[in-house]
Amino acid sequence: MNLRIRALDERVDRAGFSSGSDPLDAWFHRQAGQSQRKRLASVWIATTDPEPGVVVGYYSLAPWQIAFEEAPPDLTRRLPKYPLAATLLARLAIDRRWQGQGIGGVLLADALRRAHVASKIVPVQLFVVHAKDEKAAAFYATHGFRRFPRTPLDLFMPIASIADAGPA
Amino acid sequence: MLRPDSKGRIGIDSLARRLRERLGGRPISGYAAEVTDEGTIVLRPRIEVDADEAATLVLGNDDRDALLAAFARPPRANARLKAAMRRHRKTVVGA
Repeated sequence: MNLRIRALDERVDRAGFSSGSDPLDAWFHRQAGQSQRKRLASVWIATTDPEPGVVVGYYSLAPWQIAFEEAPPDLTRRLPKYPLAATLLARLAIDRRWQGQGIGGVLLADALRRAHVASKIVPVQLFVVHAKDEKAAAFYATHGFRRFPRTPLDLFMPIASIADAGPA
Repeated sequence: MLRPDSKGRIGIDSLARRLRERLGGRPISGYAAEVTDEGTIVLRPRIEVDADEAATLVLGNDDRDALLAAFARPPRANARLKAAMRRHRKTVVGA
């Protein structure tokens, strides 16, 4: 099976997409286009090669910042003076008909590749994901993401680790 | 979602129980409280509220230490991530 991944456009049947997750489906049906038009997020869709209008899955990327609570003086000098810029994988979903075929991993790889390429133009040090539940968090953890101890549904990967995966 | 009684009050026990269920160990600072026109209080994770906006995640000590450790020694990509990258190259047209 071949996939094509491109930015969301008006040629696709968004209403027909169903991942089984109401929040992810509702956002894609009603808000994805607006978020992309307003440049709040970039939305990327995967379609099968012969059916460019049928969405197999999607993900969205958004800008993100990491700041630090007040730190002891000996640590302060090791911390950046400004919030760290990060790329957030805000959402990733696969249509029910295509689940269980490894497409989630392919979309994750695509998101990481784009973040890695973008970081060469505008430096970003971190890739962050916000998992909707523990099952999703486990998916990211098995791909090498580390959990923030205090908010274990938030996971991160240094951009340097993406380079090690051989993205480009 | 927390619904006040007819006098606009919310029982503290009910509030505490619902907060425990809703937060699941996450800090309260990670949530935004919204009050609807009907007086219902809705707690929404800030990350969901802000997911498509320029947002800031403020890290506490444990999170900060985990991040600094990863920066100091970035973890190598694991076998599953490398496999996903290979599959991407094979299945995505133009990759």
